[in-house]
Amino acid sequence: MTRTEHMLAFGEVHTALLRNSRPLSGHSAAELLDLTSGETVRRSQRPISRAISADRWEGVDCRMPSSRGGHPRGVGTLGWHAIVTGGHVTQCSTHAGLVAAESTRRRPWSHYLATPGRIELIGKYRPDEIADGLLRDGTDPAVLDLGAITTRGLDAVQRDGRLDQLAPLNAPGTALRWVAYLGAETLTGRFTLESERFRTLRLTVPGQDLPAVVRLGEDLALHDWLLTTLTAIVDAALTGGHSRAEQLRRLRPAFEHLAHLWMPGAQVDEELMPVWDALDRRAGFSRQWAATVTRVRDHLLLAATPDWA
Amino acid sequence: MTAGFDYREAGTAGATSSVALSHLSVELAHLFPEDLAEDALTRYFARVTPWVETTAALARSRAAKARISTCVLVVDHADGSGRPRDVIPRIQEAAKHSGFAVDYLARESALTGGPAREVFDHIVPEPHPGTTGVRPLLDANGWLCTGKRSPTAGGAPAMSGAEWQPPVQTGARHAIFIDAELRDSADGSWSVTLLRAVWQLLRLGLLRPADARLTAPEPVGTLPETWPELPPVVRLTERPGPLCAYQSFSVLPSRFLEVEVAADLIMSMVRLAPEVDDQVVRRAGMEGITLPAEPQDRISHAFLATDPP
Repeated sequence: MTRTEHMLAFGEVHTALLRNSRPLSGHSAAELLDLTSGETVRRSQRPISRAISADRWEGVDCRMPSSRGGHPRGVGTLGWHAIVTGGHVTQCSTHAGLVAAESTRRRPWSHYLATPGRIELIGKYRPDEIADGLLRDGTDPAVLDLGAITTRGLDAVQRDGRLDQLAPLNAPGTALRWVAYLGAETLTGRFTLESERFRTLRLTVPGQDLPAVVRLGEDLALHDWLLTTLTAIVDAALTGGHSRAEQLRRLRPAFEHLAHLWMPGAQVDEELMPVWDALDRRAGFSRQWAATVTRVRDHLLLAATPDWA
Repeated sequence: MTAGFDYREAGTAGATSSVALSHLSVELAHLFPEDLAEDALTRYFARVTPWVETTAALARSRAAKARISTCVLVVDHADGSGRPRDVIPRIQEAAKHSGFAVDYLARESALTGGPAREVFDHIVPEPHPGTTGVRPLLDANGWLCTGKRSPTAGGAPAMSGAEWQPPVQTGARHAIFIDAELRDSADGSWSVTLLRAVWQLLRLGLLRPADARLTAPEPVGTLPETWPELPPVVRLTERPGPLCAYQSFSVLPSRFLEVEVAADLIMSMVRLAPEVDDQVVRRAGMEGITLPAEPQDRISHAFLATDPP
């Protein structure tokens, strides 16, 4: 594996419901995400309103996660930005690319600032071991803590005084951690539900378009969260032996606030769409979503119809 | 890969703005209220004269038709800073007495709003070895340092057995540890250190604040009664060289030595829009000037020993 052809990149996306009782307008979302004075919040309207903060950079100098043996030292910066989709869902997305350092000594800080979003690895390492280590949800305090940086970014948005802190429904957040080999021969991927709230994505990607990979991770994380949240609410409402009125009370907010947000692949570059197609084919993301939405809709519809019995 | 139709939404990011640039910006003084007495001003400018003449001669030796401008920064937001109507003619008169002119006068309070925030938001602190991302580097209280603080500084009770640990400067064998306050944790006001960094970056044409009057000063007009009535930076002479310049020189009393060192530290950890710096470097190149890569290396200083009372 040569450095010029392949680059290991990694990132993490935390997704949660915005702590506000009503959806934010595109304008308010952009104001909320104005985290860096003098930089523009990117906004898009179709197929869903979305605002993305400018990238911020965070310096690290620590051991890198590794599945075995030596943990090489990584020095550089990670980038992170926050996103609000549909005025309702917020995400924090971190990323960095890994390259081998040219010397065994740490360089002046200006060297790392010149290429932000890059971590240079000092010492020998095997990319596969780093990738495996990164995907492990470990708790070694001496190694890079991607989750801490991502959590802090999301907190910065969620604690903003302009939010009323009254989320319309109870929806725990999820974390997706990804690693990607850029410059690979073919596009391959593996999405794993590691635990109730933690998912991993492993990719090999032709080309060197790291931002496109970051967007794919964010899109998958958003839709995985939507699916997880909606199915959890529907299951809890319909299997708990609740009265019909109680079922409706529980289903309504989920349907009102989440149903229209399903736009799979909306932010994904054409070249990476096969990942979504494969996920739909194998895991049935869209089919499960459609079935769940239909189930809720039927339920609401039946509830509104006179009882013929 | 499908060919044919493409959908885009126009980004809101504008083109890089442009500012006029001199070869050299000479800062004659950073004036606090106590410096504004007439005889003190006259004495001060007399001492500054040889430095101004020397640095101007050096600039002309490098470029025959060097554009040179002079400026002073006035601390206008402190008690006793007088009325612009009285103070500005006094400054002009004192300079004239020594045979030169003050081209621009800037109010320090004009730097405290957007420009200070912009520089603060773009600081990417240098991580000390062992920085894993768990703790934010730039503390909420706004201190920036060159390494790792002494963990027991002032904290351990006597006889507790906790041994004192020295602070450590990142990457240095013999440490000179600097811990600089950027903003007051109580009232949020910006430190003189941060404002010095803002002022230096502004004069180097690297900061392009929303208020264009900061980089493209207007003629002074009628001198007002109060400082807020005065534009942020005013032009006091006819057709001087532009305020911003490829390189800058500041003559300051020696009490500014530490402030300037700390401002230099801030500048070494700021990552402003790279296209702005590229633009400045390219334009200097077109005039046959090779600029140092780091902004802080484009600044020269002369520190004058404090006058006997």
